Amino acid sequence: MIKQEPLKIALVGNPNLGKTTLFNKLCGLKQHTGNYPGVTVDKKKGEFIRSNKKYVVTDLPGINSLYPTSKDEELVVKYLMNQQSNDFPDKIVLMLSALNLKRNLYLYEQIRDLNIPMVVAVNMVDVGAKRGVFVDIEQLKAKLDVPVVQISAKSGEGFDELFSYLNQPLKISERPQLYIQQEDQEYLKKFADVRAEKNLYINFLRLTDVSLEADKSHKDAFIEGNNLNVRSWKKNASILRYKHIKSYLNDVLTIDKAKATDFTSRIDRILLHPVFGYLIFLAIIFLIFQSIFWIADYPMGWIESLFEQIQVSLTALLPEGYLSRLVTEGLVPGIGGVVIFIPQISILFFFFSILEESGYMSRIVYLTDRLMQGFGMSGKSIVPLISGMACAIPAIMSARTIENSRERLITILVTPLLTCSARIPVYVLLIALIVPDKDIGIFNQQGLALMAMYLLGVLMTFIVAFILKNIMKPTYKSYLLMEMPEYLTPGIKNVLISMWTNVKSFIWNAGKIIVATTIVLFVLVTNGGEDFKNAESIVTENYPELSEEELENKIASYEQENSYLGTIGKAIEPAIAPLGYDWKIGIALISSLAAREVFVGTISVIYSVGSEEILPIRDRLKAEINPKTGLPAFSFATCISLLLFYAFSLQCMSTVAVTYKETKSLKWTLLQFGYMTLLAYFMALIAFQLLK
Amino acid sequence: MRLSDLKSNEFGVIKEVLEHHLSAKLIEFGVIPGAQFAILNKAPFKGPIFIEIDNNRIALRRKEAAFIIVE
Repeated sequence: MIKQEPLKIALVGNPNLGKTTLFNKLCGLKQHTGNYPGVTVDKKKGEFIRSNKKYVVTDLPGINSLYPTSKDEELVVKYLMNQQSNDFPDKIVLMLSALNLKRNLYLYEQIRDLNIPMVVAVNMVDVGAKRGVFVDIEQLKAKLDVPVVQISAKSGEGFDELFSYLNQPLKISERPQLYIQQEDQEYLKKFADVRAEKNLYINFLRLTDVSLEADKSHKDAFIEGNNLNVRSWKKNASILRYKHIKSYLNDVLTIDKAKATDFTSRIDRILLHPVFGYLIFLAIIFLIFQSIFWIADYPMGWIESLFEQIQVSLTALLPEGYLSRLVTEGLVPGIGGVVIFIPQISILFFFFSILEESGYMSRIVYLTDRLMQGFGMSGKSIVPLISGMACAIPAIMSARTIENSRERLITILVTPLLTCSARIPVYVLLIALIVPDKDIGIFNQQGLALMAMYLLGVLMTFIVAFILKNIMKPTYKSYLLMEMPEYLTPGIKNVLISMWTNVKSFIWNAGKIIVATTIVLFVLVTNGGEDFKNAESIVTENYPELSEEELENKIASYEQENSYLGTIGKAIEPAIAPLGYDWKIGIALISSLAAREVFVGTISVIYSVGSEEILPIRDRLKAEINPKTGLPAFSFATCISLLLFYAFSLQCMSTVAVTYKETKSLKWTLLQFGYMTLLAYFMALIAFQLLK
Repeated sequence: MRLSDLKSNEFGVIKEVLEHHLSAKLIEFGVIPGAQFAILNKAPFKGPIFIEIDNNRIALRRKEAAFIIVE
């Protein structure tokens, strides 16, 4: 059997029309998701097999037009213009939504002139009909000169027709230039004549847009030489396109005005109310974070006892030896330390995707724009900021949607201050040590403490943003102009798929680092110099009066102190002692430089090695005594100091990398790492010195 | 009259979009002379304005709305 080349298709369209639903429906769980969980503004890839044929599908971020105003749009437009690339799709599916047909057709008209073989898929015709917006598909088929199908991305209706078109050779030819006035057309042709690219509309975009043309000198010389006003070309193009759309839209679209605006408007009257709107917003955020604690509590208990069980059975099962100890004392507690947070992280992503899908996210942008401007950001910064509470990496990437470069930079610089999901394991562990698991009224005290940590992150984010706003010079004029989507009921399957793919990538990424650091730590803590090797004889000599059991414990802790890991920890102890940390915590700080969540795994490994009993890590830490001070190693002051340190420090190499990638500036990357580290150190220092 | 002068629930027709850095973008969003609009909501503390224009909902800041002449 000859293996066929897979058919490459790309999904294109405006934001909020169900593109991701279609993508999920087609690919199911076979998605090459980005490396990081959260909302993504990069293209996503997936593959699937349908009737024995393989397809590779690219889901492009939603765009409003081919005149890009932000980084994410620019990437999509460049992708569509670069038709010689290997990555370029064989065919595109251009999605339209019945709910917003006119604006979607505007994008269609632009993309039609790129002459890419395409099928137009109209989604949400049924939802539209319920809301008084009726689309006549047969009329639309007659008006457009490309194949048109009606689909339901949710149910899969119309997919057969869609695929029958995708498997045909779709011929598409240049049509008359509807977007340009007769007198300007001569110039456009003259410009295109001397270029390799022959498509007139691509040349039009290159000529009129600053960001799309590589050969700026030739373009500028041409514009100046012919005395062209390309700005008015652009404006005229839009007006001409809308005129053209108007000429056929009346036959396609019927709107029952009274009914059409009803549903969304009625909800907006409440959700955008000057008082209730904000109260509801705060209540939603509060509810999300409380339920992270309430609901997640039960599965977390199960996972905890499961891992204890595994540890007990493996210890009994495996032969005694170094490798067995690596598994039972290193890997199992290390992995368990991360797996236990799956419930909380799942709940977080569950709510985020509901916010996205329902259309409420745009309302949050609207409600907060004025406030954010006071801090040098835009309402659009709220999306990176909220998603920064899941993970800073996609959050920083999603700042691409912010048009203004200064607002975007401030957003990028402050986003890692928000409490990301990697901090949850650290916070939960530390809070459990100092806050009793009791209720005040209906609220769980530990839940409230976690809430306080979130608020602290938010507060610091705004303080730093305010400072940056006053330091950094304003660049271009800032503006806000955006579509407000209709409210939609989020599809449960969609929500679950996005939850799953996000959790999967969180576990996978955290897991890799944690397994690696666990092994390294275990090797370092179970090997050492002379003192380590002779631990038994040294201790027995020095403490002849101890009972056998006490002696064994003493030997174990002596070994640990003199292992390679102990030596490193002791070396940095002077720097961290003022913060209230002993050398063991120091090791955890160093190993979590790569990623914060490693802290829990490291602590689990350090405190498990050489210990006979199998205890939950929380109880073990409570019992731990700092040998230098004779006080509990995890005292109230130390825990608060650690909480503050983890709240503000940038212990995540992936974030550093993504900031560099997004800003393309070493200066800002270093500045971000530097200010956060100093902030963390001094806040922790002050807190410990005041509280001890 | 400018769009920014109108109150919530008022409506009218776009007369002209004055030349400024955003005028091309506004046209793309359907803010075209002759289009009918209604103000759906104004965010407090001089925040953005939420309008419906030609069965399309968009939000923009007051600063930009000041460049849109309406009647």
